[in-house]
Amino acid sequence: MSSPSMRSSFTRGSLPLLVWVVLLLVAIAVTAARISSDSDWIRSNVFELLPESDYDPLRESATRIVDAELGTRLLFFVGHADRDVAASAAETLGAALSSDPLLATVTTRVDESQYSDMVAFYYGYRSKILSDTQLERIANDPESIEADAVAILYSPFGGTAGNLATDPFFLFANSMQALQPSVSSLTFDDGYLWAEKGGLDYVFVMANLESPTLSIVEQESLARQINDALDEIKANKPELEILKTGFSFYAHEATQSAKGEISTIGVGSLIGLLLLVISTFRSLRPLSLIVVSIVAGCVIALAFTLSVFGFVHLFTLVFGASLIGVSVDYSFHYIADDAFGDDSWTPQRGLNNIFMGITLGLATSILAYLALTVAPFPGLQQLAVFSSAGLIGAWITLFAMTRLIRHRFVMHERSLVLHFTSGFLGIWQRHIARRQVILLAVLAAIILTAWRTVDVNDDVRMLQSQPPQLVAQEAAIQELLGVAQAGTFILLTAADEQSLLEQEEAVRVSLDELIAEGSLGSYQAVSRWVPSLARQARSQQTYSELLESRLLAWFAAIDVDTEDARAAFTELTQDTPSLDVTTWLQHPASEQFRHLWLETGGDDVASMVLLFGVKDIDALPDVTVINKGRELSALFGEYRSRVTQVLIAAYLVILLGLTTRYGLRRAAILLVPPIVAGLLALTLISLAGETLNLFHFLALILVLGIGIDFTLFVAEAKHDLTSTLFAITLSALTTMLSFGLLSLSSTFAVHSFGLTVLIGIGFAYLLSPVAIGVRANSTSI
Amino acid sequence: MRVVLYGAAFFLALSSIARAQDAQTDDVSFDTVSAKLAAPAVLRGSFKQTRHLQLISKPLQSSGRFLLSDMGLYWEQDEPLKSVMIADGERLLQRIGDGPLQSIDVAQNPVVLTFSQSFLSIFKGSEDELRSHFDLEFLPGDDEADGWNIVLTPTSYPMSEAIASINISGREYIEELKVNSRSSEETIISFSNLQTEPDELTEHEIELYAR
Repeated sequence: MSSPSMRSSFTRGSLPLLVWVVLLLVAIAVTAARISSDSDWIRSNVFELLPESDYDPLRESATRIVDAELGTRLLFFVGHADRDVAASAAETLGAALSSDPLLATVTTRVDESQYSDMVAFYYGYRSKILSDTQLERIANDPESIEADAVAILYSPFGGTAGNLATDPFFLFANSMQALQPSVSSLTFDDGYLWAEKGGLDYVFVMANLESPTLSIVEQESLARQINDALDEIKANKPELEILKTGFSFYAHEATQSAKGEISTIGVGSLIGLLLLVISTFRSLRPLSLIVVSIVAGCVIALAFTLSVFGFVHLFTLVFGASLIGVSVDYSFHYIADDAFGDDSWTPQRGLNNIFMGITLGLATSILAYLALTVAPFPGLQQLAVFSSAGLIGAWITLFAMTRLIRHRFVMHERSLVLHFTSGFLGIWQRHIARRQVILLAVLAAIILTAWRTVDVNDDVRMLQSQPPQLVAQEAAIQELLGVAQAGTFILLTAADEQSLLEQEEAVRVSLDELIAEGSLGSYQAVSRWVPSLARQARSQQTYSELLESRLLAWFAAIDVDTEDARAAFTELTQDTPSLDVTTWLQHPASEQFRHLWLETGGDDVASMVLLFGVKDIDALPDVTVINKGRELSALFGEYRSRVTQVLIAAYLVILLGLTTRYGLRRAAILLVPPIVAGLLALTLISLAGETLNLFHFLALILVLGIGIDFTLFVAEAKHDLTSTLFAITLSALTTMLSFGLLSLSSTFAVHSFGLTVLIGIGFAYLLSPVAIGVRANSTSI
Repeated sequence: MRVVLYGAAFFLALSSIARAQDAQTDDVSFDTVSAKLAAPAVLRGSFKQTRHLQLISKPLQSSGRFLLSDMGLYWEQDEPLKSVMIADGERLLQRIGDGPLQSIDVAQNPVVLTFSQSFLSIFKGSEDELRSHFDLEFLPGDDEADGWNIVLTPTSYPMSEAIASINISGREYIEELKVNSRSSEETIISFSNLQTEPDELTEHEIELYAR
C-alpha cells in the first residue's frame, strides 16, 4: 500500500473522483433497490444479535406474545374515600378512554356474562376437573365431603349451593375455584374490581392498545391524551387519587426527555462544531468536507452491509455510524496540512504528505474492526463490516473531494485551537517529553490501584431511563393488585398434546410448592383449564367411586324420593366426554388464555406457563425459564466480555502490523496512548461511582480507532509537528463535542458511551505526543 | 368462585350490564319501615329454617339460635346437625359438627360475600348497603298497622344469577325472611324469642364471636 506508484494514483489525476462517484452511485442504487424490495431490510430485534444457535424462533414468538399481552396494557386505579365517587370517576375515565381509537378495549366493569358462560362450559366437565384437595378427601375422608354437603344444604346461604340432582355433593363450586385461583388481591363488588389502601377505595380500570405494534409516536400521543383526561378528572375532584402504568406512559416520558436531550445535545454540539470551525478557519468549508466524507462513508457502508447480510440491524446503524466518525481525522489532517502549507502547497502535495498517516490510520482501524468478526456474534460481525466499509468509503471520499475543492483552507490568524496546540506542544516538549515515562508510570499506577473499584453491571434495566414518578406509580399499582408485573415464563414443548399437558402438570407441582413457600405469586397454564386426559380419567374414576359408594345412601339420608335418586344416579354415572385443547380453544371460555398455547409450525406442540411475582428466578424448576429482561442482561454481559476480548485481539493484531514498519518497541509505544486513555476512562468512571456496561466497552473501540490515528499522525508527521498536532486537536475537539455531549443523556446506555468517548479521547489526545519519539525520521526516542 | 383476576385480565371486558341505579319511588318508604323497625344494639333470638328443594318432597327443617351485634352475625344451628357460622361483612367463619372453625375466603368468593353482607344489611336495616345489590320495594304489612314488608330483587351479579328475590317482613323486629332461588327453590327463615336486653354483649356472647 505504501508503494509510491499506488500512492500517486490516489493523489494525482481524477481517478479517485471517478471511482468515488461510481461507488456512491452503485451504493445508492443497491441500497434503494434493497429498501424498496424488502421491508425487512432494517431489524431492531436484539435477539437477532445472538449467535445463531442461541436463537430460537419458538422462544422468540413466545416472547413476542408475552410482550404483546403485557406491553399493550394500560392499568389504572381510581381512588377516593367515598366508593361512589371513586366508581363514578372510574366511569368518567372509562368513557374518556373508550373514545380513543388507539385503544381496543376499555374495562371499567367486569363482564359477567363471560364468566357465566365459562361456568356453564365447565359444568359439563364437572366430573373431570376435581381439584387435588377434592381427590384427596374423597379417597381418604369421604365422610367430610358428605358433612360439607349437609352444611351447605342447611346453610342460610345454601340457596346458592347448586343443583342437588346434577351436583349432589356440591363439588363444582370448589372445583371451579381451584381451576382459577387468585392471581390478584382485588375484590369484586357491584360490577367493579376494588382494592383498598390508606383509607381509600380504588376502582381498577384497564385498557388494551388496539395493536401491539403501535409506533412509539402513536403510543406517545395516546399517553398525552390520557394524561389530559386524567388532569381534567382530577381538576373536578382534586381529592381523587389516580394511579396509572403502562408502556405508553414510559414511551411518552422517554420521548419527552429525548426531545429535551435532542435539543440540548444536538443543538449544543452543532453550535460547538460551527464555532470551532469558524473560529479556526473563518469558513464553514472544512465542515462540508467532513460531513460529505462521513455521509458518503455511511451510504457506502450501508450498501455493502446490505449486500453481505441482506439486512442491517439498528444496533449496527447507530454504533457503526459513530465508528465511521473516526474519519473526521482524515479530513482534519488534510485541512491542517493545507492551512499550514506555504504558497507552493497543492492538494496533490498535501495528499502526499498525509497519505501514509491516514492510510496507516485506516488500516489499523480496519484491523481493529475486523477483529470483531472473529467473535461468533452476528451483531459484532455486522458492525465490523459496516464500519470498515464506511471508513474505506470516507477515505476514498477525501481523495475525491480534494479534486473538487478550489479554495485553500485559510486559518484564522488568532485561532484559539492553534494557540492551544502550540502551547500544549511547547509544554510537552519542554517539560514532559523527558519525563514521559514517569507520567505513564503514574497513570499506570492510578489505573492499577483503582482497577479493583471497577464494577460491571449488565442489568438491562439500568440502560433504560426510568422516570421515578412513573416507577413509583407502577409499584403502587402492583401493591394494590397484589401481583408483580409478569414477563417471566416457562416454555414447554412436546411431541403431542397429551405429553405437553402432562409435562405442564409435572412442572406445576414444583410451582405450587414455590407458591406455598412464598417465592412465587401465581401462574397461568393451559393444563389448569384443560387437565391431561390421564388426570381427567383419575378425576372421573374418583367421582364415579364416590357416587357408587355414597350417592344412594346420601340421597336416602336427606329423604330424596327413591325413584328420583335412582334416576339421578343413572344420569350421573353416564359416560361424559373429556375436555381437549381443541374444544377449549374454540370456546369463549378460553378467550383470555389462548395465547398460552403456541403455534410451532411443525408437528410438535408448545405452550408457555406465565409466571407472576417471581421472587427468585433461580429457584424455578429446571426447565426453560424465560425472562426477557434477564435474557437481555445476559446478552449484554456476553457482548461486553466479547468486546473486551476482541479489543485485546485488535491491539495485538495492530501491534503485529505496526511492528513490520516500526519494529516491536516503537510499535508498542504507538499503542500506549489509546490503551492508557481507554483504561483511564474506565477507571475514572468507576471512581465516580458508575458501574460499567457493554456501552462503556463499545466506546473503547472508538477510543482505539481514533487514539491510534492520533499517534500514527504524529509518528508520520512529514514537516511541522504543530500542523499535525493542530489536526489532532481539531479532531479530538470535534469528537468530544459530538460524542461527549451524549454523556448528558438520561438514557444510561447513551450516557455510558458518550462519557467513555469523552474521557478516552481526551486522554488519547493529551498523550498523543508520546509518539513524537517514534517519528519515522527521528533518530532517538 | 373468584371473578377477580389480573394478568391476562380474565373476565374483564366492557360490561354491558345495564343497571337501574335508583329504586323507584315508593308509597311506603324505607324511612317508614325504619321508623317501625327498632335498631337495637344487640338482638338475640331463635330461628327456624324451612327449605323446599325440588328433589326432596319433605322440606328440610333446621333450627337454632342467633345473635346480632356490631361484632357481626353469630348463627348457630342445633338441628339436624350442629354447625356455627360467623359473618361480619368481611370474613366468614364456619364450623361443621365438632370440626375446626374454618375461614371461608369471602374476598375470593363473591357469591357468599355478597350474600352474607346482604344478610347483615337486612338485619341491620342499612338501606345504602342493600341498594347497592338490590332493587327495593316497600309494601305495607299484612293488616297489622305496624307491620311492614320489603321485596328485594338482586340487581348485581353474582346474586342475580342465584336468587330471584328475597322477601322480608316484620313489625318491631324482622320476623321472617324468604329467599326464592332462580331454580325455584324456596327458603323460609322465621325468627322468634327476640330479645334486646341486656343491650350490651355479655362476656359469654363475646366469647362466641371469638371462638
